[in-house]
Amino acid sequence: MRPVSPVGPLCISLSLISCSSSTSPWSDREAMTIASLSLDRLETNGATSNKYAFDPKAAQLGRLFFYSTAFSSTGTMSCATCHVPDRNFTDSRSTPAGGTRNTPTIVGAGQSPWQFWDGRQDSLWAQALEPLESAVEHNMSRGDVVGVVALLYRDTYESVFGELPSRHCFSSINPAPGAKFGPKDRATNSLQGCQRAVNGVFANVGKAIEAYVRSLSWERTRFDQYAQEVRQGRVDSRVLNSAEVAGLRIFVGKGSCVSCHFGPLLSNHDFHATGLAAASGQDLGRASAIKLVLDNPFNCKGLYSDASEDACAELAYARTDFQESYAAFKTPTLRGLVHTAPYAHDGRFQTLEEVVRHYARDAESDLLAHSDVPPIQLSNDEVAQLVMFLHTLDSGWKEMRL
Amino acid sequence: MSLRSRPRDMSVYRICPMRMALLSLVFIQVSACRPAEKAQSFSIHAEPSVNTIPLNQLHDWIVNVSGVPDVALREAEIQFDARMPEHGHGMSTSPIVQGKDQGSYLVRGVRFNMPGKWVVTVSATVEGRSYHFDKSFEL
Repeated sequence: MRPVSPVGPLCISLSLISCSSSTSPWSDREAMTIASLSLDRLETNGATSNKYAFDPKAAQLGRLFFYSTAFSSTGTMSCATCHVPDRNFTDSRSTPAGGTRNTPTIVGAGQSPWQFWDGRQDSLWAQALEPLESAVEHNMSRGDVVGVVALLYRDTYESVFGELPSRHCFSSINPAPGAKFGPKDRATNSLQGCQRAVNGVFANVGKAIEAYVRSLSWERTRFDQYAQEVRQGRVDSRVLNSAEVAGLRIFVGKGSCVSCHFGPLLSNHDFHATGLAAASGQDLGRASAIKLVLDNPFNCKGLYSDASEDACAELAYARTDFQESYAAFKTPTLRGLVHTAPYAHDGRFQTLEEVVRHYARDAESDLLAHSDVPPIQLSNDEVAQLVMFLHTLDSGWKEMRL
Repeated sequence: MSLRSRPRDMSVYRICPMRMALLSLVFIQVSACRPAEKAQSFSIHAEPSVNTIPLNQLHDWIVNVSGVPDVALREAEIQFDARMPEHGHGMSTSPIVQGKDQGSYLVRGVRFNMPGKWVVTVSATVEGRSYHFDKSFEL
């Protein structure tokens, strides 16, 4: 074997020391993690059960539906009543009137395989249908919805989805905007021969709304700029100040926030118990939603889905274990979060600092009674730094030109 | 990633002398009736079907069981599970095990929804005995 000169390794060692003192403050792994959080890395996922999800004409129609108050029994409520555009499509309330869950933002929601805090719907279009029929929200029947489409949006609807069903399927209702509708006929089951046709139009209303919601996206933030510079190996970035960088270090390090809040939308779109069970009372979270989504006629495997059954992998392999799903709620996105307060599934936290302090409790607290989250110890300064970093994720939204 | 598997029930190692004598007689009887076979120890081998285990994406694993007669494999029960010991929870999916005849199984619907340490456990119940295979890795 050829002898190794002692000078060689020494030079290499000195070179490494020299390099490490002038390169990024982040390790390679940290830099990769930070880069992976950038909005630039967002890849649009497919919407297998909605073939209209990326259809511009469907999105235009969905926009009309989203802001229309005609789809409500009082003629006063639209999707935008709770999903307020100026509030990043939330409503600033802990929970809406009559509801028990905080209104989440819908920007980027199409990236998640599950909708609502408990994932009881497996697509955006199926999600959009539920408030239409909810007695404390739009309070419409499916026949009501078809009637409104026929009266106000027939031409546009038929240009996208084809001919509406025969009028006898919904002639018993008064679809005039603002009018008081008759007794709810939730599934229009009484209309012989019409159920499937009415359900099909009802589903298409949801599919159009999904197409519109998918046209919304987050704006880039200061963090995204910083992540880009980290990826490029820039060591002199001034995009974030030192406190914000310290907060980012906690986020990807000792805070373990990135364990659930990862990817460009800072969410794994999955369900976790985070010690919120005690105050949630009877709210079982994901545990109460599994059967609902599996049995829903508007799910990926249902009659109104555009997907082949073997394309519905999320449903096929959905975790059905009750114990692990108990009081578990979907990881929310952290984008645009300054404008989406209050926080958590029941809106119990009014500020980001309250959220951080919930996770930064000591190991003896009841947080551990039922939680996927290991204890996190943070000083007051670290809490403040983490909150400052979270503010760098805030942004508004933009709408694709339709 | 192959590991020698061990019976979960350690009592199988505690066999009294009388029982050993009876078992020996049975073994001799069986040996007399079967053609000589090369001795093969029981093992479970499990690996992902992709080169790199993806974070938070559905993917498949392949489980191979060897050292068991085909006739016993047809009745074997294979279970696949994975947990994060530091977080106290498992996967977000319920994987489905497919295929039985040749001791090769496709585990569909595996997803590791968080980075960190995971422990995969494959259990095989063959002829009344349970064996398991553990594999831990950092994602």
